[in-house]
Amino acid sequence: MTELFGLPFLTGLALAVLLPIAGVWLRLREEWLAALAVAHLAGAGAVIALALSLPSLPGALVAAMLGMLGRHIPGAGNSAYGWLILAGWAITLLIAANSPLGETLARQVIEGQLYFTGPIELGAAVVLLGLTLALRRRIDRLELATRLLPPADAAERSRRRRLALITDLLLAALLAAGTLSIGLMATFALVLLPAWAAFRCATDWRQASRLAVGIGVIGYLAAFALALMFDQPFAAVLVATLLVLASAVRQLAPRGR
Amino acid sequence: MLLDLHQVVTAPPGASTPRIGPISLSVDAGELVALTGPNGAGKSTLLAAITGRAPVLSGACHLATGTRVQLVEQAHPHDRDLPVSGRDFLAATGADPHPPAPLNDWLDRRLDAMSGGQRQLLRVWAGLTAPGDLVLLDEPSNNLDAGARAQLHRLLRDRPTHRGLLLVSHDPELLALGCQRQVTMPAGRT
Repeated sequence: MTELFGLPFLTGLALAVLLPIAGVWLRLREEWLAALAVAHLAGAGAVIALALSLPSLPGALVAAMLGMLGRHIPGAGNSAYGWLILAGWAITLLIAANSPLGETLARQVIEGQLYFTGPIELGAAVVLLGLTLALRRRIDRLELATRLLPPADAAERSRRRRLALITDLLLAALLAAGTLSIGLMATFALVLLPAWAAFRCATDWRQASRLAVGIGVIGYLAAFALALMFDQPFAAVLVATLLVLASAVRQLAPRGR
Repeated sequence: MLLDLHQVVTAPPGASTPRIGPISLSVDAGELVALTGPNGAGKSTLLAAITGRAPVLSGACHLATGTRVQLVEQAHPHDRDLPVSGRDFLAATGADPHPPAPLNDWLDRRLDAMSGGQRQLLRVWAGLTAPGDLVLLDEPSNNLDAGARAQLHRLLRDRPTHRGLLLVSHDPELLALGCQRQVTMPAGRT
């Protein structure tokens, strides 16, 4: 049992730490819908790559990065993310319907395939964990400063743009890794729900990040156990668990003051 | 000279009309220059032009090379529903983390749990002490009660002396705080 589920468990655990951190950054930017859009694009990229007999991870990564960089197009906003969600969904399903392995692959992207992940997915998650922890304080400071005291001179604007680009690429990689390992909706749930609860209850930024990661990890551990115990699809159990857990925290914990 | 505007004509961001100006002014290190004028004259738009967010349609807007600018805007819609304390805010902006009383008592509160006046004073402190050579303050005494206005006056009186300060205000008490020059924008637009 441990041999069968050890690597998938660790991969999912790393993602349960990483995706809520991505969630607090995206919520701070008021761009949480980007997570769903980029996850859809990552899924489409993976399916396109597989249809062309190429590895799925680079395909997902490139598509996710293109989606994330789309935020720099003037006038891009939630409408653009809505457009990307629909484009990613349509591309995924059309390729699925017109390639021999497509349907299975598209289902895997949408529903997740955590139990089938191996050393490559775990390796990618560990590298991303190291990168995220190394860059986290700088990104926190950059994103907070940009939201609260916008840059007022060209040099500072340019410095922040460079750092924001690095953040965008890291976010794209996190969302692509999540989509390929736990599926599109489970990735979106880990980005959206822990940060949603933490932003209401935390008293400061550090507590918000810790609370979001805590909700993500507890939700993941509970979902992993429940899915195995009752032989249920993991991604759906994770989404349902996070919905209940994040809503309970948001309702029961005192509002941060 | 940190900032030198010569016959600048500008317009609100994203629009080429109505035009504002022409206006000339300068701010040197250590100077406090006041910019006044009736509502709608385009004072905030002029600050947007200085910070590169509004076009300079004619004239010259020159910032000395390497000048770092801090802008404290009039409206701050950016901090609702954020788990950000006063301490987080000062750390993120690089401002002095040790403000004078009573601002230091508010540092462990979330910004969205502070009153509008408390947030405004904290922002002015951040603008005055974050890394920068030129500070642009847009109507900092708007919506402040008498007590908060007195605290604002103290912050400005005790500000770091090496920075240039361009202060947009109608408040006569604020304008009396040792302004080196006062520039009045005309009501009409060209």
